[in-house]
This record gives sequence, structure tokens and C-alpha cells, in this order.
Amino acid sequence: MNGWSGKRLRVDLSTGKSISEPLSYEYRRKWIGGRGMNSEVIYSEVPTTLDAFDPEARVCFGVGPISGTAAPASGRVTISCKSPLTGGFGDSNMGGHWGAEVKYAGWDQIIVQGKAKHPVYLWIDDENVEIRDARHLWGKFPREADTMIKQELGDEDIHIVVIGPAGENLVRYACTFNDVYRAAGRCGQGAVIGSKNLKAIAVRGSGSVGIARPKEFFDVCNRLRQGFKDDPMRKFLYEVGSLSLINVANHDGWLGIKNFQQGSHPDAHLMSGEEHATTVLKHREGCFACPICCGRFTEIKEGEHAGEYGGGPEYEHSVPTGPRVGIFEPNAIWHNMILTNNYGLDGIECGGSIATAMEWYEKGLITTKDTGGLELEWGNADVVAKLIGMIAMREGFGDILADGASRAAERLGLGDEGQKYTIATRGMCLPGDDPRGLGFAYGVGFAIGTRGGCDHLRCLASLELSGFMYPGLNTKILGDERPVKPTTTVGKGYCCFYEENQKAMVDCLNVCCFTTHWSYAVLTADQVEYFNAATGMDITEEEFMEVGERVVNIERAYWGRMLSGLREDTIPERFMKEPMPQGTPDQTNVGATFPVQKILPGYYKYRDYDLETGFPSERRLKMLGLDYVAKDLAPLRAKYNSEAEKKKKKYYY
Amino acid sequence: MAVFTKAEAKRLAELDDYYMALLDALKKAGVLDDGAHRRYMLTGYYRLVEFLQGKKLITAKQAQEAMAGGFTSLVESLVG
Repeated sequence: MNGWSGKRLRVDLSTGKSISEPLSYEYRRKWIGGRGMNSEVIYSEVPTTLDAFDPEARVCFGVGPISGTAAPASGRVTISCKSPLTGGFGDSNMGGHWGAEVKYAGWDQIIVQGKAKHPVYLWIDDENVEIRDARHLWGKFPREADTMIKQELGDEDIHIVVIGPAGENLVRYACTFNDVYRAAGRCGQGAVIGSKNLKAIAVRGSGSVGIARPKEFFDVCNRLRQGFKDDPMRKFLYEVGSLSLINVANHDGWLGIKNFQQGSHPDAHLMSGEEHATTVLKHREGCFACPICCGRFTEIKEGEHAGEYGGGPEYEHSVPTGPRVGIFEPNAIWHNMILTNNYGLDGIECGGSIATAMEWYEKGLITTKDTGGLELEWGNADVVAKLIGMIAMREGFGDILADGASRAAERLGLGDEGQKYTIATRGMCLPGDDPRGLGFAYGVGFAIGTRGGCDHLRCLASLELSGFMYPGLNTKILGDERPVKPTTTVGKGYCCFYEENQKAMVDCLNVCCFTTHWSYAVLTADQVEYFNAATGMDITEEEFMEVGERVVNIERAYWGRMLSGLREDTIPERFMKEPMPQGTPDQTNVGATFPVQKILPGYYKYRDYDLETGFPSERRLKMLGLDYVAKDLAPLRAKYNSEAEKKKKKYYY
Repeated sequence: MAVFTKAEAKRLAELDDYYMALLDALKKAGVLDDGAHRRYMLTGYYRLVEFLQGKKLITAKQAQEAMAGGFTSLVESLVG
């Protein structure tokens, strides 16, 4: 078989049994792989009423048909589950080398269900699957566990997915790592893995990936690799990593400072990628087959944290545990990054939850009586570092924040006033980007994101983020150059529709979106070309994009089944009502607000969402071959608009 | 080829959500059928321009201008 392995592995930790399931041609063509196949499994096998930590809940690890090949950056893996943070659909993906290894072991997808009696890890050696005791690994940081498993199995080249203590302690935003430092951060799959008493999945593969038309495939891959040499975004990402955004964000006023009360600050440059590269950068790292190598490795050289080291930082990890909580001292930020990585926490939700608590504290909604004596002043680096550990271990006030900002507001009895400061959508804290400056299409992504309030590597409306580096690209795709301006409503509905479908397809292939969105060195037509050459299929660009649309729709329908739709497609009030204040003299977006409701109706037209509910229309679902989904949603359309349902406030599910 | 009136062209240029309106107008004028309307919604503006050139509704020069100037240039080429 070419491209795919043609089978998936299903492991039931309750029974200790594992089986191989064939993936038919029709199924592969319909869902492609990665996020697509995972989303289909979550929709079909995980009832919306099931608790995310129920043993019957699934966690899926999906790779794509070109994973493990020479296609640029083709080593990612998508992890999907019912999110314990939002209660809705959840997924996240990560780079590293584990995804390629899964392919070499002969699998397109791994589904884990059930719950082991005690901590275990999976050892997948090609077709052989073994469930091994992990009691001695429980409580270990990812770095330690990775080393111990490799020593135990006697193979340094094994690739391992592992969770940290936060996942074991069911912190609702625990993340998952592979190769120690490559994280799938969002939605809390690490906690779902932990709930199954699963510490890690070690994989070794000795096979290869079949390529249908090798000459054509390698010609495309070589051409694309050549293109990266002169790509402007590749240069930035290689030189200074995703922290290259710090100075841009500060200039354009979209750095989420003090829980998004500000967008720009005179000290922000201290944590810029440029500063990092000349102070604490130890070396650069690349994931499987990556032509960019945006990964950083940091070693703190001075101050109280001197000698600490670890993978990262990334922009989205550093802003929430830095400026979002009022910290600009770089070594304190790198320290927080190392802490969250060690414990296995999503830096975005962790920083977002702490920032929310800080704003509650500032506004007088909570006091030291609630926090166990912690003084949650902005910029208090000691308290933030302490809280990170308390969250991971579910100690004291940390136990409350371990449930995420929205649930914490409820646990503390703060009502609507408390929820107002959570800066979250559908129960998930937004990443560190303020749509009042970063862009309106990006902000729409926060409202409609099918994994909750996260456009971080999701809809990824990068035509307005990095489009200025590619003159003419907005016109080529959207028919106009005006949408490149972040704070215009022109063309943004279509921008979201196109990029959301495109990104879903990229996640089905499991290639890195830094090659297809941030950088536009690999366009849709290129992806179709290498996909067809690898698999031997003859899929058209239209069919390719339609797969992306299908994936978005089944995920949206999962939310629909939870009665989450049009009314929940919104963003925090702050972005709509509070004009952006001035933080630095040359900040470009002073006074800006984000009129999300002006853009959404246009977006719905492209999606053909039902304008009464925001659910995917029966017509579009049937067009996408999702008749069974249409049937599921039919009785829920009227229910969603019942008076009782309209009165409900849904901060999470 | 005359597909739009000047007034329609002006209206399109003033819309925030111009692309769907453009596709709808081309469908109404009989240039796109349902399948083509959906195809160019999924694949983007440049594929629409290629299609119109392939159908000889615009010349190669007009297609080039449509790619440089965006949909307003395209619409101008289609004004009767």
C-alpha cells in the first residue's frame, strides 16, 4: 500500500487486549488521516454525555499518509479526545519524530480506550504491542521518564509520547510530549491519558512508507525544499523562532499583557527572539524532515535560575506565563517555561488561568483568603512559579486553577463578573494574541474554533498575519489585497472559511503549518501534488479542500450535539467593548475594538451554517457525505432555540 | 463579456464580503453552475480567474490584470 499503512491499532487498557483494524479505501479517501480520522472516531465513538475521564472515552493518535516521508515537515501527530477542559471536542498536535516512527511501525492511527488497573506504558515494536508496568515512572517529569524507558528497552532511538505529573493528577489542561520537548498543548489530552493510567507510548518501527510515484514525489519535495531557501518567514523562524513575533506583536499592540488589558509594553523587547538568540539560546532544533528548524533549546546562564535548561521557548508558551501575568524579566519567563514543561502543563491555559485569577484579585473578586495567602499581584514572578507547581500537583489554590479559568470562576462562586475576566471561549483560555491588533480573521477563529477558544495553530488566518511578507498572496486566494490589513472587516469571512478548511487538511496530512500558513512556501496545489504522488490517488484540489470542510463540519456538529452553536460563537467582551489603550509611543492599534459580530454572518454564509442555530445545515452535511450527522442534529435544532435553552449560560460543557 | 452592469460592479466593490457576492453574481449571470460556484468557493480566487480565462470570458491580459488588481479589476473586465 502507498502512503498509508492501511490499518490502525486499538488498545483497550481495561482488558489488556489490542487489535489491528483495517482502514478501507473509502474511509481513507474520506478522512485522509491525522485530525480527520481522529475527529471521525471521537464523533462516532465518544458520546457527548460521557465524562472526558470515563474509561470508555477514547484518545486517538493520528498520523497522515505522507507522515515519515521526504515531504517538508511531515512528522506531526494529532491527538484527539473529548476535552476535559471544555467538555467538548478537543485536539492538539505536535512535531518531533514520534509521528514518523508510528508510520514506520506500520500504523496510521492508535486508539486507546479503557483504563489500566495501575500505571502502565505501551511498547509498540512494529506489530508487537506490549502493556508494561509504569508504576516506577509515575510522578516523573517527561525528561526522566523518557530516559528511563529508553534504558529499560535498551534502545536510544525509540520515540516516546509521555505525560508529566499534571496529566497524572488530571489537571484539565495537561499536555503531552514526544521527544521530551515537543508538546501537544491544548485541550487537556494529557489528563485523559493520565485518567487511563497510561504514562507513555514508546514506539519503534522498522518499516517504510510506500510511495506510488517516487520520481514525481521527490521532484515535488525537492522543488519545495528549494523554495524554503529564500522564504522570508523561514528565515525569521530559523533565526529567532516563534519569539520573532514578540517585537511585531508589541509594535502592533496585540501582546496579551495583564490578561489583555494592554497590548504593548516598553519592556517587551527583553523577551524577544532577537534577545533570546543572543543570551540563552543553546542550540536550534528541527522536527522530522523540517526545512525550517524553528525549535529552540534554552539554558539560563544568570540569576537564581542559572543552570536550568530545556526545550523552547515558543511565543504562545511564553506570553501567557510572561506578559499575560505581568512578567517581562526574561529569565523568570524561561523558568516558567521549564516548569510547565517539566510538569506537563499547557502553558497557555496555565498562564491564562493565573492571569485571570490575578485580575479577579485586582478587581477585588478574590482575596488572600481565597488564594491561601498568595498575593496575586501582576508581575509577581515568585508567586507565578509557585502556582505552576501547585496547579500541577493540585495543591491549595492551585487545585482550583487546575480546572481552568472558567471552571475556577464557578468553583469560587464568582458568577458572571468572574467569567467576564476569564478571556476564554467555550471554556478554553485564548492564546496570547489580541485580535484588536493581530487581526480580525484570527479573532473570528477564537469565536468559531472547533476545539474551543483557540486559534493558535487552528483556523490560523495567517493571510493577515504574514500575508504582508508575500505580496499578492491575499489577492491570489481571496481576490483582494485589503484583507492583509489586520483591523479591517473586508474579506475576513472568506479568509476564515478558506484557511480553516486548509488548516484542517494540513492537520489530516499532519504536516507542519509553519510550512503552509505562517510561511506560504507550500500552497494547496503543492500539497495536492505530493499527496497524489505519494498515495497514487488522483484527488482534485476541490476534493482536497472538501475533506478539510468535512472535518470542520463533523467537529462543529459535535458541539452542536452539546447544544453549543450560534449564541456561543462569541469572544470575550473586552475585545468588543474596551478600546485598546496606548502602551508604547509607536503602537499602531490604539483605540481599536473588534467587531466580531460584523464578520460572523459572512463566515456563516460560506459554511452554510443554519442561521437560527449556527449548526451545519442538513444540506451541507449531506453534500459532504455526513448524512448520519445531519440525522443526529435534526432533533436538536428546535431544542437549541427553546426558551429554556436560550436562558442557559454556557461557559464550559 | 458583459456580465455585470456598472452599478453591480460598484455594489460589489463596496461589500466587505465581496467574494460570495461575486460568485453569486456569476451564478446568476449563468457563468457558474452550482458545482463551479462551490468549486471556486473551496479553491479560491485564482482558480476562478483561470476558469473564466479558460471559458474565454476574459483574455489572458485581463486575467493577468485580475491577478494583479484583484476582483475589482476582474469585475471591470466583465462590465458591459
